[in-house]
Amino acid sequence: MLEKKLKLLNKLGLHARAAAKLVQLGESFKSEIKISKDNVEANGKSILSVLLLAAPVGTELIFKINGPDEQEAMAAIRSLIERKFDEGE
Amino acid sequence: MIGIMIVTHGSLADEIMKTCFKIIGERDNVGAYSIQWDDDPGVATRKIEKILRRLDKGDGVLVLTDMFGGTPTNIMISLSKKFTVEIVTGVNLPMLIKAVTTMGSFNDLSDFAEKVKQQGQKNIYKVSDILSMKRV
Repeated sequence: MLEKKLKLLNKLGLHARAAAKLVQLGESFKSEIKISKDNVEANGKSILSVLLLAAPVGTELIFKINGPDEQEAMAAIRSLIERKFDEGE
Repeated sequence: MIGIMIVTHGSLADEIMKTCFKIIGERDNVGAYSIQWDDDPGVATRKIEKILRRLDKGDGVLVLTDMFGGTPTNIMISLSKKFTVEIVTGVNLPMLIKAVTTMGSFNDLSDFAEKVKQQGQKNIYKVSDILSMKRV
């Protein structure tokens, strides 16, 4: 199981389209993905669950990834967040 | 494959479908028909039938309408004798997103409709409840 804290850098934070991109990326991996903030844990493969995190820019999210491709999944998610969800700000 | 169709008053059906696609990307087997206020119900019914025929690939169509008792729902009830449909009222954006992103994993239309109804209800929040839960 991998655990990493990642900070949101894009202006709008985890808004609907960003959450959709994150979830679509997550769905391409077999591993289970949990994202948590404060006391709320979201299923990283469900957009409605991820949106409940209500995470604006600067939020630190904890990603817990568990499964056969956890390394690749964590790297891909980290890259998406570092690329500011390709929102071109 | 189950199809999804949204039928509402005004322009809501088309707009909510566009909004959903803007968020999760365009999908096949999803259609919308907005019944304009001065549309003739007979004409609207025929147009809806045409879309239903396109969307039904054999497993039926989940129809999301705006409100029980309204014309869109009533038209769909009359068409339910002719088509394999399940109708869920009170369409909202989380409900639609859930429906469109999970449609591929259901074979049974009734199970799918039940799940979509539950998700639509579950995803309505009083925001202050959520925020206070987070502060605990």
